[in-house]
Amino acid sequence: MDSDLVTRAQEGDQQSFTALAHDAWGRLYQLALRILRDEDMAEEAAEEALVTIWRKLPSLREPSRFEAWSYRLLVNTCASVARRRGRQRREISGDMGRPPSAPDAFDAVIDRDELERGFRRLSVDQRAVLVLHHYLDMPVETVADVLGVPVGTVKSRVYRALAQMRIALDVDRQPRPTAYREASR
Amino acid sequence: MTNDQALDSAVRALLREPAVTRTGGLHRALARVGTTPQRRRRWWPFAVTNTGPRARGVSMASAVKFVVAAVIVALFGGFLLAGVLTAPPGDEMAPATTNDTILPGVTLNVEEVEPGVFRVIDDGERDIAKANNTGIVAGHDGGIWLLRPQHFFRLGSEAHEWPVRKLGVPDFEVAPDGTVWAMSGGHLYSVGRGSDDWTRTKGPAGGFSGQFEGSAFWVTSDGTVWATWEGVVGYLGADGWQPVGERPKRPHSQFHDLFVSDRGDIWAFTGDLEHLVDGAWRTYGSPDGGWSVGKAAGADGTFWGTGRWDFVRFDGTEWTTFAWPDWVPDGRGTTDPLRAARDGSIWVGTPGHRYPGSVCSGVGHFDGMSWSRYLPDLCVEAMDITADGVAWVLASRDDTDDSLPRHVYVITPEAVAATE
Repeated sequence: MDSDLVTRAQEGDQQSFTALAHDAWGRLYQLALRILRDEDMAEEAAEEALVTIWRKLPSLREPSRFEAWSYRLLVNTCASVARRRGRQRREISGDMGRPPSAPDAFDAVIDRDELERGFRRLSVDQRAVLVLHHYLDMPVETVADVLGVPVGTVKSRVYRALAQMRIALDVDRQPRPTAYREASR
Repeated sequence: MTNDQALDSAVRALLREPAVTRTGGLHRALARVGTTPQRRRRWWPFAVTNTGPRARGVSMASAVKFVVAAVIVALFGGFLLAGVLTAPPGDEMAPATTNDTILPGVTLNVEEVEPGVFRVIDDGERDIAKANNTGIVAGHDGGIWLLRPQHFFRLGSEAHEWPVRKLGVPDFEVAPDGTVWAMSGGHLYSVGRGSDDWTRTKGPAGGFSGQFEGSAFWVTSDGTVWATWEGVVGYLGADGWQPVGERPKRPHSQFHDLFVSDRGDIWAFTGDLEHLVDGAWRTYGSPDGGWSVGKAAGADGTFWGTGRWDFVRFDGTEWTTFAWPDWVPDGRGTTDPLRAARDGSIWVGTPGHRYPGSVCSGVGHFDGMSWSRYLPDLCVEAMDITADGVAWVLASRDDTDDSLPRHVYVITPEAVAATE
């Protein structure tokens, strides 16, 4: 990312911001898509994030940190869009403290749709840490820096997110009683 | 592999599934930025009370104007466009089929929308008219290449379709041997004929990551791949990247655009125009109002650039300024793309709503003396010119609405001859 472009955009130069936006759009959209799992919502979130970036750009003190700063704004925007669309996570039942499933339960190939459903049940904050850590390959220290939270919080979110997904996968694999299916519609 | 590792790997794979990048939101965001004030640092609390209401007033006024303009465009623009674009091309008349006239060796089903200007229906294999095309390139292999969200393909032949990398819509060029070169996120990829495997290009020796990380690239008609990285312009030779011009380290040293003429003239942009002459960079400032998005380099080495009020030609020693015709709207970014034809003439597209202040005004052709205008109500998304002077245009009625089809139009030299 060119710090000079950022500096000029901070001074209100829309042409520089247009160049920045073209450069950043792919990353923002792809990140939002992986967090929100919905193309329309991802586009909305990336669009909102770009406008917010423009509005708040003068407050960015270190232009070299533009990329990390833009990711933080994007994650916040994803949370807003998810709230607005009323698609916040549904709480799932399960004891978060229980030990992992027996080995044979996971020997089978993990079904992609089950995985997708499990991921969608996570909160936006949990999804964000997984996406930054697993998709962008950011170390947890960098994820903490991007999100503005302690390293311990990131580690705990990653742990809880994976644990929650494991429970969701287990729940998916259990035969559901008729009453549950009807109630969940 | 433990259960934890299996889940970890599965999540990693899920998150790394390729996905196409939509761009409608980018254009909407940039349009909104044009009417959105930045939030300045407020060092003195009284300034807040003085500027706050005024700022809100301006914002509200802009919003009201925007809504009124949108209503007018919706009422009258739609009315006018309806007659031009939604009417059938001719009562029960089947689209004309052309062969070897527009694209050698390729049969295209087309309909004539203006004398000498055609809309492509299909190429015998694929529906072109209704597809969500996002890019068009006149390849150095003589073919016309289209980019869709999932793949590239060559019109008429090459039934093989190349999948696109996961990082969305790249810039792409096609070398004479049919190799497709694409840049996405600063990385440079290539895929050869008959292969599905994209190769990520290695960076210059001594580079930080080992992979190429640059900002612009260009393929000349002899197939040489040129690119910029860290203030350097160079080409890809048999022994890797060969730098030919390094800009002295100073602010704004990063290149954003690169143009290389067939005779070896190198133009690059850092915000200012840079011209590489005898291994040294010459820097030129911008015209009044600043450079716009549209820039081009002619095969003869001439540089063309657009500014806020006019557009300029620079042959390395002398600047010539031309006025825009009345139908080109004022404002930055209102002419893009800009393409130079081999005969020295210039083609401009008006991008429409995706840039602040712009209006969909079609395509213009300037021969150095006079302008001709085609497809006057359309927003131009992409355009390229073949070696024999045929303009291939990707255009839609509204470039911020991804649900509308982006049609491929062909403006033939016959159309140009008839209007000039």
